[in-house]
Formats: sequence, C-alpha cells, structure tokens
Amino acid sequence: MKGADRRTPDKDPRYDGMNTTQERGAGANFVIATATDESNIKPALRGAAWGLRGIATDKNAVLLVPEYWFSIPIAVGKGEDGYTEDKAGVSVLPGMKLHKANALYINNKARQGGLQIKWNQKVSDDVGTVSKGAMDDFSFGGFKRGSQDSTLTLDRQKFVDGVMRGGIAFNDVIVAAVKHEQDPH
Amino acid sequence: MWVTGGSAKLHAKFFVLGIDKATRQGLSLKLHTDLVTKLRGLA
Repeated sequence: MKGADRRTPDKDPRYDGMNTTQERGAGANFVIATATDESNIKPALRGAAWGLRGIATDKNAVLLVPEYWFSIPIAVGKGEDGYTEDKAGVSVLPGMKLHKANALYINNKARQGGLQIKWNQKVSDDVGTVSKGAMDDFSFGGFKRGSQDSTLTLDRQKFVDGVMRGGIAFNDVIVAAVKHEQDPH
Repeated sequence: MWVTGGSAKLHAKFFVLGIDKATRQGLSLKLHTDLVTKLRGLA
C-alpha cells in the first residue's frame, strides 16, 4: 500500500486536517475518518476495493472495505401554503443517523461485490446541543426569502456512543453475510 | 437545505462542531477492531 495515493486533507481549518467528501443530492459535507493517515487511501474509480486488488492476490485473501456514513443533525423542513400567509421553517434536532453503510470486497481473482444496508437509520436522539442563529429574512414583490444558520456542538461521549451503535450494527450485518457465505445451509 | 411554503422560501445551513481528528480516528480503529475480531471468530 506504500505506493497508493492518499486523500488530500481539506484546507478549511474547521475540518482539523481531515478530508471531506460530498454526495450528490445529500447537500452536505461528510468528514472522512480512517484509523490512521496511512490507511486513508484514495479510492480507485472502480471502487475502494479495486485499488487494493494486488493485496488480495498476494495474500490469497478477500479484501473488505467497510464504510459507515453518519449524518448530523436531523433537520425537518416544514412549508405551509396558508390562506393569509405562507411560511417556511425548519426544526433542527440534535440526533444522528446512519446515513448509509456499505462494504465493498474483492477476492484474489479480482472479483468484486458489495453489500449495503437501508439508508437513514437513526442511531441517536441526542448527540449534542443545537444553537439556532438569527433568521435573516426579507420580502420582495410578495415573496418571502430567509436564511438561517444552526450549529450543533457535539457531546463527545454521546457522539462516540452513537457511532459505535451504528457501526457495530453494520459490522454484525457483514459478519452474518460472511457466515452465510461460508455455510449457506 | 431549502424549505418552501407557497411564496416563502428558507435556506437553512447546519454546522457541526466539537470532535477532533484523534477522536474520529480512534472510532474508526474501534470499529475496525470490532469487525476483525468477529470475522476471526468465524475461522
């Protein structure tokens, strides 16, 4: 793995030297965390496991790359088309979801596969404290426009508990799938 | 995210603070260790 490309850390200091990625349609930045900087390998175009196929061949093993995607906070938008007034608002809850989780694998013959669980499973109702900023709004020509920033300050232990709850649940899914592969009956 | 209600439209942004790189890497390692331990148990 020495020759593999590593991800480049995000220049924004708020990400503390970590990398970020976006997902189409999700409208969010996800921070990427790996166990070490050394293991933060840039995924190949054909999937995270593909770039590591040489290791699977050399070791005569199946190589597995699990990913756990968590989203914070839980935001619920509410629009109201009223008789006298139209309204748009958002509730920000201090919860966390396992946005998605998947595991790509590749065997010693470069055959690939993967498994994925249902998206958006809630793993915690409370991982910190939400502070809502002031509403910045204005009207023109009968239309109302507004913007509002909110901040969620994480409670370290609650965050750790939520990640472990979701992560271990997916690990158990992987283990069950491998067990079934070993003994389908 | 964008929320629309008739002629009203709201753009809401969220920022998450409070967890450093070491904590996130530690969590990644914990999940890795949990999975490896369980998979070794199958062998």
